[in-house]
Amino acid sequence: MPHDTMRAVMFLEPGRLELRQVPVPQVGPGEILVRIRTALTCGTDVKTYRRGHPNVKPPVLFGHELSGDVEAVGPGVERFRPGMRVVPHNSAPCLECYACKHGQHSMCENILFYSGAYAEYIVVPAPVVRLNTFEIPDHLTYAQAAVMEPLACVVHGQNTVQIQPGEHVAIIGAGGPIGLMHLQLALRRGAAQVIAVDLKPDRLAMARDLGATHLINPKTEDPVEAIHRATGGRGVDVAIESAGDAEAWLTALRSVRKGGRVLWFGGLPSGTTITLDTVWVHYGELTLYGVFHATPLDVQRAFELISSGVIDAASLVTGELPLEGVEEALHRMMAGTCIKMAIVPDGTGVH
Amino acid sequence: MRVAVYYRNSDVRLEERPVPTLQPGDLLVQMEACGLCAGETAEVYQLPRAPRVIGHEPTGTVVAVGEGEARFRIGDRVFAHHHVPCMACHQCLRGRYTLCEHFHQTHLDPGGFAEYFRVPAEIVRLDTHRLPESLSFEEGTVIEPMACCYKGLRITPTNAGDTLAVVGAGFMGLCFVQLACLTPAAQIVSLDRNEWRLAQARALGATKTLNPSQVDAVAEMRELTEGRGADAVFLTSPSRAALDLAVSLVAPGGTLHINAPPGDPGPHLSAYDLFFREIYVNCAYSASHVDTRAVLDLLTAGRVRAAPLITHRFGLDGITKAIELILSRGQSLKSVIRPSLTGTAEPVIRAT
Repeated sequence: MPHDTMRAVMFLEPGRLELRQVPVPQVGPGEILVRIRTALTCGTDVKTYRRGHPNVKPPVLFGHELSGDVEAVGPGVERFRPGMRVVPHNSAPCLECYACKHGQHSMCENILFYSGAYAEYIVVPAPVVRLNTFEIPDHLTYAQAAVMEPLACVVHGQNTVQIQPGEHVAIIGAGGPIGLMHLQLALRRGAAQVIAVDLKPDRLAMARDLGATHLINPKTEDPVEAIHRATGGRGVDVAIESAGDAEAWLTALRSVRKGGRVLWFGGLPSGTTITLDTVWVHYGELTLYGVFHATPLDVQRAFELISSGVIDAASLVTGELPLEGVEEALHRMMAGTCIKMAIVPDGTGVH
Repeated sequence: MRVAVYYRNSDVRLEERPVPTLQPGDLLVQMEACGLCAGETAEVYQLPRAPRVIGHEPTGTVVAVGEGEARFRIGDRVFAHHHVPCMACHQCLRGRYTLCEHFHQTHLDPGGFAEYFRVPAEIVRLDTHRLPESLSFEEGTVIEPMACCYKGLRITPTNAGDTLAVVGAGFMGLCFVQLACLTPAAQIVSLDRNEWRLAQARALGATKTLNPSQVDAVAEMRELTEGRGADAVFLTSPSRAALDLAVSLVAPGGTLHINAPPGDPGPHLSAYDLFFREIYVNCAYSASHVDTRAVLDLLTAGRVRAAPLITHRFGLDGITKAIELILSRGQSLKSVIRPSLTGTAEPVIRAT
């Protein structure tokens, strides 16, 4: 059994984290207590650390991609028992609001988020246990399984653009973890050409290793022109923005062919605006998609994609640090010297 | 309280049962009106489940509210669906709510043909709605069956300029005719062997009616569509002849939508024929909260009408007569059962 207290990373304000001793949370009905074996760093953590986040009110426990072992189960939990290796998603919809009844669970008016993955233990809320928690198969590591949450968001995003076999796709910001997942999924959906655009040569090399057919570095050439050159002057059928940058949103918009689809995946700071060429949108018959988060179906599909090996989750986790190293891990993310970092609370290298 | 217990089509008995007791979140509703569904007269389905209280299209007035339920109050006029899905299983996550195993396990207690019925908490939360003042209790009974037709249209591709055919101009067929008017179809063709029913179809928006006992309906359909056939055909009759007619009306590449349970186990349909004409076949055996909500909104907005579909009323002791009326397939559409009518009331035929 766990001790009364545990180590956990608190987000205090932008640029300030603190490792504290806090009480181990108690399980209630329908909940499970998970001993965290791996938490993964995420671009959203970096954004929150840098500038805060509208949905994150400090001081608060930090981190939201995790996997671990069931330590205790609350009354009424039947599907899980202590000792099971599990991966929980970081949210669950209410299933009862207008959006949920229309199958748009990511737009749930009462969506339940919880955080605290950078800690020794976490209580998974009952709706997440019921809808969005999976037993990890033996052949997967904790780190591979923890990729489920961001991959679910990628699956959700690509539900909109529905890449068809033989299509041409560009990914703006292809070298980050989200971009590399978009790249893999686009290839598995039969894209004939996937053009990777990224500012960092080593990340472009990683995209190449995962199957990108064409590499473009905006530091050395104009990405819109280069994408048109790579597609016979036409532009791509689908452009996916996964850089979280207003300029990248516009690059995606300008990179598609007439009749093309644009997926704006990366969220920007509150108040960000972009200026569109309406003539291009109108006469080009563009279809523009905004997306947020994921639905339980996306989570289930992400879990299947990882456990079946269709998506290579292992190569996205490029290093490991203990709980004391969360800030360093986020700085490595900002510097682009890693893809995702595994935070391993007991420091025994279990991933 | 009095309930009507179904033993067979010719034997429905009034019996006394205790009024249901409420669990937290439940509602107790005094039944005001409940439609009789043609499916409830299919003995092949009903006899193995008999005896039981049938009726699944009720409306009524809330007379008691279970602990913790905040959305409804005593005196509210409500519609309650008879099934709700779990919202969490494989089928629910894919939006196929009527295939959820839990869906079939949920029921109104003891059923619609009772003076009072209990709405379990999960149905209260997911698929119970206040009726707007503009809808009568009788009109509210149309929500559930029309929702089954709405689902049929929702899952069938329809495009501007299409020709849609509806086989059968009974209650369900006339729901389809009205809903088809909300699509950009160019022609809506209603087919039935009963001229009175075809007249109702014309009044509700059919652009053309065909009586297969008097004309070669397939040839007439080709005449209307430059030889192609209908882009979608909605089948609302359980008869073998109607199914055979429906499939021969579909244009190559079109859709056959089956909305009535076939009256015999088959085999039906020629795979050879479907294959070479590339016909899509889809089915809707029930509706979910998505569909009931949409139909309630359409009725409230006046985009579809319930009153012309209700032709007869009976008391709780008149259900065998209502069953006979459905089976006669004559000058009747929907019969509603009203506990407030005492004795075996004479049917009230509405002018349409």
